[in-house]
Amino acid sequence: MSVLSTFNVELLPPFLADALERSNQPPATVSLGAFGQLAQELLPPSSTLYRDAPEVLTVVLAVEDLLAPLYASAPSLPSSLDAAALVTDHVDALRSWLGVALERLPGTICYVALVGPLGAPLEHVLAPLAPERGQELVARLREGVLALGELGKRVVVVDWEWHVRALGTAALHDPRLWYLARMRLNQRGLATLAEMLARHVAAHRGVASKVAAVDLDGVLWGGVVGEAGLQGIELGEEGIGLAFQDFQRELLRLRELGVLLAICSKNNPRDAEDVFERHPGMVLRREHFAAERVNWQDKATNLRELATELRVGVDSFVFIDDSPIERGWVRQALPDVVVLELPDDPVERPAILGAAPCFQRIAPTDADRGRAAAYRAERDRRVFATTTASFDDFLVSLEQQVTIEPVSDASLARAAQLCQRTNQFNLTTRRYTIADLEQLRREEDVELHMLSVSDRFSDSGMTGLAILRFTDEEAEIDTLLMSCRILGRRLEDVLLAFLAERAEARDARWLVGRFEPTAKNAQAADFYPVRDFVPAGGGWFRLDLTSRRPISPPETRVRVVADA
Amino acid sequence: MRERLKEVMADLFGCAPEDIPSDADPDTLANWDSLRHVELMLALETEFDVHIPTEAMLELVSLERIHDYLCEHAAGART
Repeated sequence: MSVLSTFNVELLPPFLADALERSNQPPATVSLGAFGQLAQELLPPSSTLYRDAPEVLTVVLAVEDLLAPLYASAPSLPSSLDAAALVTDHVDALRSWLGVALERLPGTICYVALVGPLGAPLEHVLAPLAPERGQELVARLREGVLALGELGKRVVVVDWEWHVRALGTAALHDPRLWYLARMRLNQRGLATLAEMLARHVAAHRGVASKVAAVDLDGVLWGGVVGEAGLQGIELGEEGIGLAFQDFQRELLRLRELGVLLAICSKNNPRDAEDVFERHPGMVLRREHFAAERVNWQDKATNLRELATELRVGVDSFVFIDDSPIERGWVRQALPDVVVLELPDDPVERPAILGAAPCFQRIAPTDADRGRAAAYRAERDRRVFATTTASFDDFLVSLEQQVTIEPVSDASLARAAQLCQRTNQFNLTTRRYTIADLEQLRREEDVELHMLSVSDRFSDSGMTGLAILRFTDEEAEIDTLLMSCRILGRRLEDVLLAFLAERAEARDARWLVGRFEPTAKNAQAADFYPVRDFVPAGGGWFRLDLTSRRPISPPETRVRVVADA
Repeated sequence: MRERLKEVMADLFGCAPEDIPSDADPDTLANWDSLRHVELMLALETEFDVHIPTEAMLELVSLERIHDYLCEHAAGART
């Protein structure tokens, strides 16, 4: 069995083995494709999938992955037209990709499951049909996936949502009560129904707050910038840093709904400014905030001043702060301010804004929409050619944009993180620390370059790193690595072509690199030979740039930023 | 046990525990109708941490029967 998925299912095989045994099915050898790379696995005839030619192909999709722009929409909510196109694009693509797989694997049965979602794209809006909520689009995506069953008898759709629904409903139901008293809900069920109704009643009366006043340290990013410095704070594309980034995205979504954002922080104005202007992980910009108080005054005073400045009552304010002491103080000093209970664990925070009654409304009012529209930058998104049957077309349709720039103070921490964490596509696996990289940056004959990429569907941020070392006529690739999230999109060729340019710019004739095998980087073993590098013994490969020059794939737009 | 039981019932039927006779049943307690009965069963489950199957729910229609049932089934109920 081959399993392809949009998210990490590495822990699935033992469960699968158990479940198959319990269903009296013969055991299966499970091979997992790299996650998030459906097109890369399904389209090229040379992919592992077609070499394996499995009896069973399982495709596990997650709503939140396919509709990522709706779930993490920043900087602006996609217009309804774009969002609808996103759904049809995905459904059409899945249809055509699966069609390709069925044709190439005539003996294979294909199971498709669409997992999730935990909620609608915008939980703040309660009306199920309000376009901003996005629930209809999720339903349409689900219908599209269910309809994949029409491709033929060899496609079996597993209706995850319908089956897991029973898990939730079971907890709210008591068969004894049904048979004894015709009650369909148990006490928990009744409490849930009541809570839900009360929320809608409150939302309908329009109690939604107008201003979100946020702290900076520990809320927009992890740690204290005044102590840890720009590189020391937690904020970025991985781990807990991502939770902070997602929280910022959630705040931005509030803004799109017409909620004003304000900063209320005890901090050095200059430290705060530094993060806003120079930290590459920031989603929120200064201009997103309607007012700010960054000083050492007590926060109740700051909130009062913010209220005066914004000409709204303090009772329209929601105070978001990670310190229980500050929260207690504001609660006591300004009982009318809604004080949000912020969970201690940052990963739990992105979900709370959508679930907080103070931000919920039945549907955005015209005033909300007007404010939101005023915020929104018009997005000029081309309607996308629907089916992409070849891998080349798929890459073209991605509209990838790459930025390559020298590693800076602000990106140093991310560079070190990439060195520490990247295993699969990492040619030399040198685990440089921040200090090592700082040292390398000071060396005259060394260049460090960071690659960032975004595409039609998402912004992957800083995900590739190359370190070049120059000696005489040689440019040696000390490090070349890429996060697995962006593999299989020919970005490694973009980076290699750039390195060749750098080599030429510094009069090097030879581009030289080494492949150092580890337990995990086998997939990169052929990197140099297939690109016409000549083996030179000891794992070294050389390319004579006067005879052949690596070319950047034409489908990707590259922006090179020179040294600051 | 009997006292705790009377307290639960008094709470539900809206009277004082001493107003609940030891031979209480739906005939002696005006409030003990079928809806209250379901409520009483759920309250007993919570108070005595016990699961009452449907058939037992139908049979537990007197203080005496409830008392005996709880003595037999409730965890650590003998007080």
